[in-house]
Amino acid sequence: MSFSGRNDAAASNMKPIQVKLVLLGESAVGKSSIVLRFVNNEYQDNKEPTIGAAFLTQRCKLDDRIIKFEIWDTAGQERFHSLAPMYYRNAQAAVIVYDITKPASLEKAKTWVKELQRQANPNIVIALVGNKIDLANNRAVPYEEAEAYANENELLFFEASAKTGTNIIEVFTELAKKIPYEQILANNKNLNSRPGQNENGRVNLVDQDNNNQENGQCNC
Amino acid sequence: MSAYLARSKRTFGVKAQDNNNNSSENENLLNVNLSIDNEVEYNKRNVVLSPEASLLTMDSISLKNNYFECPICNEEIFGIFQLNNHLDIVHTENQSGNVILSIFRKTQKITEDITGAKTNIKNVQPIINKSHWEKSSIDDKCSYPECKKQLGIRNGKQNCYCCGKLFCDMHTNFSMRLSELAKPDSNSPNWFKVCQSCYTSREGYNNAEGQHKSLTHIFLEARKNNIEKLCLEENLLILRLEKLAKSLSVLHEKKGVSVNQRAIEQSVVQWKEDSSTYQCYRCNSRFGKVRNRRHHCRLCGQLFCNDCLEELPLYRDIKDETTLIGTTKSCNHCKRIVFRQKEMNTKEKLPQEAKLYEQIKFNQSIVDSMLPKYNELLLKLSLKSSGTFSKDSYQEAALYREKLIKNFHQIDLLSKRILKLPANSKYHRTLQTNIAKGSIIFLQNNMITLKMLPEKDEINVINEDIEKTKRIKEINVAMEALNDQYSMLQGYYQDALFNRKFDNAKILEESIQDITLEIEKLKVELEEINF
Repeated sequence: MSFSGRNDAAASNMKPIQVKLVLLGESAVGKSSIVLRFVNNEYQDNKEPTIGAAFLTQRCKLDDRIIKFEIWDTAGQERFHSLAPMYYRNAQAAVIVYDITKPASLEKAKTWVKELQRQANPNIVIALVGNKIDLANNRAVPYEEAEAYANENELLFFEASAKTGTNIIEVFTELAKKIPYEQILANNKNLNSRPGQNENGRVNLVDQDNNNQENGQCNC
Repeated sequence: MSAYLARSKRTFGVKAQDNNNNSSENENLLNVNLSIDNEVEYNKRNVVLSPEASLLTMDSISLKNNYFECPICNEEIFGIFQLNNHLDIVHTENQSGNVILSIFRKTQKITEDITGAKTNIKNVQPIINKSHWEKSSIDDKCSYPECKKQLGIRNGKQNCYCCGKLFCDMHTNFSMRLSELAKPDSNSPNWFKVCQSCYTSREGYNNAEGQHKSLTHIFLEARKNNIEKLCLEENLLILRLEKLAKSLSVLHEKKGVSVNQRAIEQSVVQWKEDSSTYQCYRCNSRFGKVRNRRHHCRLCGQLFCNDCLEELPLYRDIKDETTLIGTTKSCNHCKRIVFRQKEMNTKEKLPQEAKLYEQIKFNQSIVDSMLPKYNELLLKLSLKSSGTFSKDSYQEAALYREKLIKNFHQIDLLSKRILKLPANSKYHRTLQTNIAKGSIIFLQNNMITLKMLPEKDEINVINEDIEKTKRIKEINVAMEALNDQYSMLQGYYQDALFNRKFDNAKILEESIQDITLEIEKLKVELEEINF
């Protein structure tokens, strides 16, 4: 997988596949930090809590496809719980984050998994991510326990660190590999009967230009 | 007392239908079987059922109300008569008898193999009176009322061995045991062809109850043995009791002279050695040195623990309770036996009023114990602030209320019955009216103040209120979150436009639409709730 750059002329000509991705998890497990690391390759200490759901995008190239992640980074606070269904409802991918130093956050993650299995799109690809492995000294959730749970529920499983950047790209790469693109494309065709034109009937030239201007590219 | 032995013997018996040699062999075999139960004749297709008996014994014929299921074709048939008819008509011997017949044939073969001899009775024609037979002519018709078929080669021609009239084959397709005088006889060893009317009109054809006989005398015989033993025991114990009382009364009179009471008691009955057992004779609990000590029953002399022992009152005259002279100990078994007769007498002697009064007291005690619980439940139910109350507690309260009202009703009935009793004197009447008055006062105090349960609707309303406020809170929280998100999205949208990221702007726009829809939905719901 490579992230689209100016040199990928062939790839950039293709229409990107839009993938709606939603991040879920208890508050203060590092959802926003993971996204920030993924999108901007940055890290901020003492980030203020998210309000509602933040929206970010990132383009990636996988094999000969361009994937555009529409990332909805939801707030973990309980009062925003009612917003989550709006974002996971027709998401193709979900990243459920827990904090390896807090066992309660894994329990919350499990409830999210259950909620998704019950109410989300049945083809949704779910990744369980244990964040903050840079704090492995204070680890309270054993790797094996979380892995066993993930295997049991057929989830992708990673332990990562947004602070050091470990495993962050891998999470999204593995997710991207698992997504059933044929279905998405088929759905999109049904929705947009005239490809190349947006809903206003205009030819979409903006996208490609915009693509080159995008500054949120991955540096690796 | 009489015991009935209800017997329903069904014999899918087997009687070969043709008169060939083979069949008469079967007949003989069967006769042996059937003669075991000679009291009622049971024929092959005569399934005699009693409703009760069928439940107990029938597995092949199931009973549904008055419906019988044919054991062969499982057809449902109403009534026993119809079933018998059905079996007679539909299932001819070659169908129904086959299985059973083959079993009989097998067993016969085995017996033949063992004995090595075939019985030769088959060749001997049984003697039967044929003088009453109708003479055969050219133009004969079947005598069965609804048949009237022309008799001949086609329909067959056969005299009924019983009534002697001529019938077609179909209506003589029945067999019955007949005596030599051609009368139905269940003890006869010989089977003869008979017509349907003779067959169905014979004794016991419609007998649905089966045979019964009184076994009271057997019961009485069995009881006599028991009772004799018991009487013997009782007499022995009473004798001992009287002896005890006598010696003790002597002891009382000679107050100055010290006589060992224990010695007297031991003289009445041999006491068991202390070391002879480690367990209570009755409950088998182990004796100890300090706890659970040994005690002797003064009537039977066995060793008992304290729990199995009772105080035994001693009367100078056992029939007169006022002559109590002292008490001693006996096991509760002995005490019961000794005073059984007396208790029975006193119970019978108890006047009707006393019995009714006891019942009233009993009902009142139930009410007294239940009322506080009921009131407590009511209090719980009426407290609206205590959160949602479960349906269970409502039902429980309803149950209590029902029981209470039942008891009140019972008390009322009993007091009225007391009033209806005959009175011997003025004072007797006063007593009766006073009891009735007392129970009425009780009812006034308790029944009239019995609070009604809150209406179910009321409860639902309360529950709904609680749910409503809960939901409103939820909606308010959700609205707040949605509004926050809405303003966030607006910001993102402006940014996207500013940075000329129009596809992102499109997604954000959709999201904003979603949010506004959601907000609208919640607003509508909120209005509905408030309305």
